[in-house]
Amino acid sequence: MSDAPTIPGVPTEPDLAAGVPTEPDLAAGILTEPDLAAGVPTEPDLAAERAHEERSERWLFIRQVAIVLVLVALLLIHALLG
Amino acid sequence: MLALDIFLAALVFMGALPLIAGCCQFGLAGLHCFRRRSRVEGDVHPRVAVVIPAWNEAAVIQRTLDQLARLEYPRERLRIYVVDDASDDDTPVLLGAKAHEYPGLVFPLRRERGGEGKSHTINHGLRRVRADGWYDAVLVIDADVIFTGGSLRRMARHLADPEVGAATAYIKEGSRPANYMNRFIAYEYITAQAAARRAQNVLGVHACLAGGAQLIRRESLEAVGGEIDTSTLAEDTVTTFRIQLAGKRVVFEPHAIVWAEEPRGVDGLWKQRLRWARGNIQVTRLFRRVWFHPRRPGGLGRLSFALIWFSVLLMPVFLLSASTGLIALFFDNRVFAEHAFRGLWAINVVAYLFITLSSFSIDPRTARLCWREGIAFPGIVSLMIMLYTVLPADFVADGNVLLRALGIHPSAALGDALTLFAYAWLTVSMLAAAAIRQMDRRRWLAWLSGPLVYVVGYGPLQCAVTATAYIKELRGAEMRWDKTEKVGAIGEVA
Repeated sequence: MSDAPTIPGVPTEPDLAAGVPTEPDLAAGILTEPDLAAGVPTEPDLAAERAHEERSERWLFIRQVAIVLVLVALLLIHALLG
Repeated sequence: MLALDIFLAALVFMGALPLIAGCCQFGLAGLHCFRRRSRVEGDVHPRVAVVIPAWNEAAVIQRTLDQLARLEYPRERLRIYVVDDASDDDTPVLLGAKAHEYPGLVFPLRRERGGEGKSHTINHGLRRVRADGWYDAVLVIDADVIFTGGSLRRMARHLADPEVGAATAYIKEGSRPANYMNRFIAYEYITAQAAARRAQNVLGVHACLAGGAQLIRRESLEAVGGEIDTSTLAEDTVTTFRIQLAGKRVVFEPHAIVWAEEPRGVDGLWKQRLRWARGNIQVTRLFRRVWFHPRRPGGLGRLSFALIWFSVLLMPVFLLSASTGLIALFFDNRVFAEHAFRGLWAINVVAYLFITLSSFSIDPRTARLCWREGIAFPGIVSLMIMLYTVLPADFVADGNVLLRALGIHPSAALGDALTLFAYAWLTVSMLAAAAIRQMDRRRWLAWLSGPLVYVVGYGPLQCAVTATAYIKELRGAEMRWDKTEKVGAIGEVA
């Protein structure tokens, strides 16, 4: 980012020399610089957040499999008991 | 006679179709981790124009705006257009104050002639947004919803994929303290949103963007005409269908949490869901050339999507079919009727256990609040029938012995009456639910409606609403926008 003084809440000029894109290039998926003043989490936070989300989805799969196995076991027990 | 019996048994087992479809959805939801929701996901921050239709929202609008102002999203990439639909409460004054508090963020708009409905109000805002031309995406929300800090950022990252036309969030019931109806709705939203929408992500086709959180890419909004549908009561569903038919995908982001205030009684729920159900019937008619045409864009014509859509829309028909088949079999072949009955309810038991346990597993935090309502979702009467179905025949016989020991001698006539009641219950439960709604509208009987929902079931209540929607549509009843009353009951949930 440029060295120009910033006013909280007012966007700074883009640092073109650093090649930071200001407009999100949705088609290319280019990342924009996070706006720290607005409280957007930094890159490592976002990575951790994504990892947590993916982990929770995997756990959901594991729990679903466990539920199916329990139900199958119950059905077998029911069948054996007549 | 065998052919007739087989035909009647087929009618009976049609009653299991909605639950089988439900199980398929929950099975697919479990596979969500294997399917990337968007091919590309980046932390992009498109310029988002939020459009909020507001009619007499003084109780809720300030908090909604404050929460939007605190979103983890670059402030300069957010504009909020609140369309006041000729409110006659303090809404205009409050909006003026918020515009002053958040200059460059909140833009109040006012329709001098209101009362045309939510979709017209949203379109008023969309016209202004498009005229300004500033936006990359538009976020249509309700005036009462509370976006959690990272929700918009999580939704927006899907727009990094150019194939994604719209994204939606996980709407959760946030009323605190939550009464019985709030808890039933909280459980229902696990099934209808957290599970069903994950399944639709896996299938790659969506039935509906949640009305309270619709993030639509500019290109997709333009592709559907720049405005939303005003001819039906399900404008969000029509938008969802049109975006997909225009070749873009719709995505559900389960980790973007948005809290909403939902009805606190049977009558309020009935009005809201009647509007939704009528809207869905209208959508079914509007897109009649799409169903069962697999080559239509967006996957809306696939058999799998039709199974999801029609299993809900035709649920009253399936339940009526099951009851009719069982009663006809009772008079034709009692032994066969008993087998069909036990078979149908055995499927129901397995489906109920799978769906209930899966729901608790998908959103354990919400489940802690509403586990009783999750268990009682089909109603205590249905649970007793399920119990009877799974109990061994010897145990039931022992029960009869026990009754006799207590001096109660169940006669054959009583046995037949109970059997017929159980056979007819799937249909009778809908009538009972309609009666509960009538009780809820009468002040001196309203106190009974809550306990009776547990007895009859929340599921049958939904079926009764759908059945009523068919009747209203067949009669060509007026399309009225009965707004759900919002009082600002959402607790500290963010």
